[in-house]
Amino acid sequence: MTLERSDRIAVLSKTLAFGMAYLLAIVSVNRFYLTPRVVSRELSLAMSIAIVQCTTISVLLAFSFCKKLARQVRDSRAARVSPAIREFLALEAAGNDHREDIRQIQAAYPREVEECLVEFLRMVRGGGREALAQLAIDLRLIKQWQRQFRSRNLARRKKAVAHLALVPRKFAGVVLQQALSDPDESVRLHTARHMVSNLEPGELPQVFALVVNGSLVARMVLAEDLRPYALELGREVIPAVLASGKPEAVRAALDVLRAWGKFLPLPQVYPLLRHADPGIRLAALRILPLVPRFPQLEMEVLHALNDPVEAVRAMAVRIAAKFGISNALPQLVRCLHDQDARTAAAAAHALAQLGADGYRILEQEMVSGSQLAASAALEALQRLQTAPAETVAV
Amino acid sequence: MTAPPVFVRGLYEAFEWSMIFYVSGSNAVYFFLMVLGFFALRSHRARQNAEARAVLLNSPLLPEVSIIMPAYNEALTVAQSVRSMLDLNYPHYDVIVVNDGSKDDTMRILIDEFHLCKSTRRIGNAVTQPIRGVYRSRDPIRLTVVDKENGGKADALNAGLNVARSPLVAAVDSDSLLEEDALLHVVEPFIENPGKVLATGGIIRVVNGCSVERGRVTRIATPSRVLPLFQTIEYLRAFLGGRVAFSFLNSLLLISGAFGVFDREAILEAGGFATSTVGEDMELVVRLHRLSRARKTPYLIVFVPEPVCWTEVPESWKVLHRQRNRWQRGTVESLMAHEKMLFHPTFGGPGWFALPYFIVFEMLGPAVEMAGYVFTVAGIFLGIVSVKIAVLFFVVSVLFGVLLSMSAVVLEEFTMRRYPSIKDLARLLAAAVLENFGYRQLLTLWRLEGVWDGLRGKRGWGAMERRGFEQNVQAA
Repeated sequence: MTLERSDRIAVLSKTLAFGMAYLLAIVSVNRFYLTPRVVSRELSLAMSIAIVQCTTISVLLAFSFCKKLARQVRDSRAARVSPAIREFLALEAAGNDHREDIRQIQAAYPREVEECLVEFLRMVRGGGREALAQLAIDLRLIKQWQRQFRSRNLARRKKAVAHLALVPRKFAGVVLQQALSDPDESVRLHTARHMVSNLEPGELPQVFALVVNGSLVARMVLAEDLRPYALELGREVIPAVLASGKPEAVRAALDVLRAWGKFLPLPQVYPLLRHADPGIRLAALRILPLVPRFPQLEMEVLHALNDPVEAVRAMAVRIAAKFGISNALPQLVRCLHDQDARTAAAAAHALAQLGADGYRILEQEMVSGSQLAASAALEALQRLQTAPAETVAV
Repeated sequence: MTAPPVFVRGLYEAFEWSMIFYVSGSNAVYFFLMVLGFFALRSHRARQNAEARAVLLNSPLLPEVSIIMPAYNEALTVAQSVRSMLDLNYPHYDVIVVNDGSKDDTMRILIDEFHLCKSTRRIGNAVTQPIRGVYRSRDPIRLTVVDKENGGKADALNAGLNVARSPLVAAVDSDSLLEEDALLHVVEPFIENPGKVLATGGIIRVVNGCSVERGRVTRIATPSRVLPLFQTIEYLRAFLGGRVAFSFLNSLLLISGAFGVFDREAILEAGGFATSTVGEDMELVVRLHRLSRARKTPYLIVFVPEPVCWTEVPESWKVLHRQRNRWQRGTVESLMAHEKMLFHPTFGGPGWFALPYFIVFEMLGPAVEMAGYVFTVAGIFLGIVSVKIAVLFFVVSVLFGVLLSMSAVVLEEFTMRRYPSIKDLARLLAAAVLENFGYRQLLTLWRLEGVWDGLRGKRGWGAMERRGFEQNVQAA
């Protein structure tokens, strides 16, 4: 459980405030109620602690029971009225006018109407959504959501954004733009995700900027959401980021490309194989099978096999095997004797995939190689023969 | 009866005040932790995004995890546990079962159930008891079984570490069941704070009373028997109150051995699990704090309240006694091994708050509480302590216990809400009251015995009598 600084401060402040209130209650009960009645000071203090504790327990007890009961009542009420609401909403989305009926239901069951309307806005597209959005305006729900977005409560803000993203931008675009630069990343991410589900022209670069500048979690989540737009982003937005020279942004973009696993025409990846940052070299190598094969590929992979960083070398070994670069055999044999077990294992697997020559080398290494090389060779050969489940992922 | 000498009265008065000071202090600290836990949990819940989590599951950027399951004489539950582990909702993970020289059919069951054959998989360098063989399944499942000579749980975990290749390793008891999404939840802090998180732990819940089918908990309910019900309260109190708060303060000293995820490199750098203690889980976490603080590298050790690991708790007093004795010994051993951290400026929160808390309240607490009972009774007989004050003192102390237990139940109800019916809530609340009359005092006695055994250097685990998940449910 990791919280942001502002949340941590809020949690500590609330804890201290609660503790102070508790102490104050004990002192007050002691001073104003028990001291005039009980002679012994110790006894009076002990009794005031007991009274406050008993009261707290009773309140907790009552509160948790009431909450549970309220939830059950709410659920059963929703189960009762929701079918009728849904029916009216379906008719409304189909172009009939049932606003008055819905408004009447809303007066008695506002929560249920809101939930059903949101449910419908998620499902319906085109003219139906437009009609339902208009209904949301009439029911003053959009105003309510815009108000909720200004709340300090994070959950409420996120919920408001999720709802506002469902209606056409002309009704809520300004609020969504504000939400994209919310100080809290979870709200930004939430907004971007909901915008992607209903994307309008010109919003794609804005959302991708969040991927590039956000945390790893944001990157991972949005990368999946943006998968349908990979080709579009690969035309201008991603090449611009790869050529930007900003290491964090470049690494983020390479991560996204890896996550998509889609073949994209991005020659900008090749210069990154010689980047000063080993993390970028590693990420660029990893996505090499996903970009067009250029003449310098073999030379770059052979160069990477001599990289000073173990992880980069190990990845280069895998890529060499993936592309079947037979010129890499001498380097792969050297990597098989690498002190890093991961590189040695990768080299053994690479050799196993390079056909008869690689196979012969592994057999020789099993007999005459060092202990690490021999064990890596043996494992690679055995895996090649029998184990489909344990393939080396690139 | 003659009046006691003046020095006895003086002694009593000093004792009385020190008791009042101790009880008030401990109550204040427990209360602080519980309230802090409550607000931290609510803040954490507000940040959660279930939809985003579902998307994360598709991401190839999720780190790989090796689940290590040490097993010793687990013939009754091992097949089901392994099956449940192989069925988790996480894209990149493998399972490593370490048979720690079981004397029963554990190994044979594993071979038969999962079609194992010998493997040539490389083994790392950590020193363990001799390995008899490494096996893998002929089926397309990511399962490795290490068969080794008996060396204890820590030794088995180290053997698992030797075989593991993923950057993250999860230590899971073979008598536990993980919920489908548990692994994803517990890995999340590692991706939220890349390179900073060394270990994360999940919440452990009591499976007794729940329905289990094919290694999955299908219906959640409170146990009908008193002993597991009391333990349910204890688990809620410990995890939702204490650990959430300690995690908030980055001073979490214990990640339960039943379910924790670690950065593999960090454990290997720290020297693996210590085989010299029965509290290898706590000892490792304290060591990770110590090394990271000493190196002045930013780090986090995190408790995650969502992931649920279901575990079978003892239903007999005898087994519970052995378990608590072992836990207390583990605590004593871990604290003694790292006493140099105490109030040392280098060790920050763990050294200034968590370690003193564990020593004063967890290690010495049982002794102080017992001394309180003995002295009060003696004082009444000697006419030094008034019955009225003694009774009131006892009532306040019990009420405070009730308050803490109730708060834990309410915390559960306000945040996680895993027990669906009002009947369950009523049972938990009743148990929160009743456990303070007799059960808590008995545990205090056992913990005291555990402290004594720990200080004497007593070793050994003691056997846990398993009933099997499904048998357990039928009986409950």
